[in-house]
Amino acid sequence: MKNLILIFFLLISNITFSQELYINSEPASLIPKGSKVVSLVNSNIFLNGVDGLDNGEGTATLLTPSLSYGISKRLMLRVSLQFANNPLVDYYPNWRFNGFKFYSKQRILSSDRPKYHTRLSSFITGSYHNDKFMKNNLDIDIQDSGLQFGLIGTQLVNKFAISITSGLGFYTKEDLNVFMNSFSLGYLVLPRKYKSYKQTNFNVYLEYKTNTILNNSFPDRYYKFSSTIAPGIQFILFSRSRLDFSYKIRKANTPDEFLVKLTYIIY
Amino acid sequence: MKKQFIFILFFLFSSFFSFSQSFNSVITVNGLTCAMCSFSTQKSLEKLDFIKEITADLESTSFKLVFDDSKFIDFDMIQDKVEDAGFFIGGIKINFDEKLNPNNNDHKVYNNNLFHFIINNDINSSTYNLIDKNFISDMDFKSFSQFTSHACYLTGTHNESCCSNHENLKSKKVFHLEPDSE
Repeated sequence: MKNLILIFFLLISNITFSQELYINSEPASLIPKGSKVVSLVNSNIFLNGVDGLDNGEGTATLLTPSLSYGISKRLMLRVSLQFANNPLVDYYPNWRFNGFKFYSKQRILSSDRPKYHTRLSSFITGSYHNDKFMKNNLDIDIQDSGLQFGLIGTQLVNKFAISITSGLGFYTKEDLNVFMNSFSLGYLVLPRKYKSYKQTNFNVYLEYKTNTILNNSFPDRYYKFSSTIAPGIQFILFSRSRLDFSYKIRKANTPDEFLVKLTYIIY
Repeated sequence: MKKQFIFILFFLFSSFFSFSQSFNSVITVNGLTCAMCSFSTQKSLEKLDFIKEITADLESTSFKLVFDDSKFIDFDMIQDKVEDAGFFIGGIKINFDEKLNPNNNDHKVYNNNLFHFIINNDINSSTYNLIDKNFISDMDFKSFSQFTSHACYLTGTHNESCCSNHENLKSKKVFHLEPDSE
């Protein structure tokens, strides 16, 4: 055990860079001014055993194209559309447009030193989705409707990036409010030494997200707690495109999810 | 008379040539942590038409810039472009072709740029650090301010009384340099 800790510290002390391009949450950093980022997420939600399925088996598939734009060094915007194939609806497969999302991020603070930075940003999310896929879960990003705002803090030292997000969500269809928190860790595995833009970067991530769900009215404020743990890996290719894989593990009774994300920056 | 004329002509030309030597620059960027960030910074810098060539050193997060000698080099624009990409300038070094030997408070024109030298040591160097207000800490700025009474160090423009004889230049900006001790 002691050896393991020693090896761990040797690893992190040797290293000079790190990563914060989280797969399931946003870092406090913004995209460059004037740049456009296009991404496509394919996500599979494993609904086996959920009520309402024909033979108890089924997978919902969500396809989410997004376009982000860096308006200034302090403001970025994103629009996402969602197309879904939902086994909980008749005549499966049934690909259709299921919703959209707006996201904006504002830089509040940025303090940089060589290979080190501390950043703080605020964000606003607004979304509308037609169908829900996980009946007993709330997630404004993929299946619910409402408004969410909050703060993101990111600290980057050497090859490690740690990010904390806290937000308040108002879910219009459910008449519930959510206090959302997430903790994300990113670590750059490869390359050991940067030589050119053509080197493939390999990052590993571990993200933990909690929802404290609150009723809208007194006296029973507290309603439910849910959490998601999401390990992931990422390849950065030619310094301008990304390929991400992540598996979201949710607590009992809530389906797991596997997602693949492709991202490309247009300067 | 003829000899004197040739001498004056020679003197004029020699000074002309010594002032038209070119310079390039190495900028260090803070906060860069991945090749994707460096690439974004490079793409942002490429939008400046006075930069001819950019070579990135990803390990030290610095960029070597080769300039178009016929243009005014606006270091403030370089800073803007780096900040647009989401990062910050750690320092700008300017490399001249040969060693210069300026006195404190000398103002010299190289290509289309006016530089004001602030010298507080006897280092003979071809590499100089840009020490304008926006590029260094408040503390360093105060400490360099002790070595010059010239108003242009505060305002960054050469229409001050200290350096008003440069109306023919493309820009009103004057940049300030100190010899690099490394």
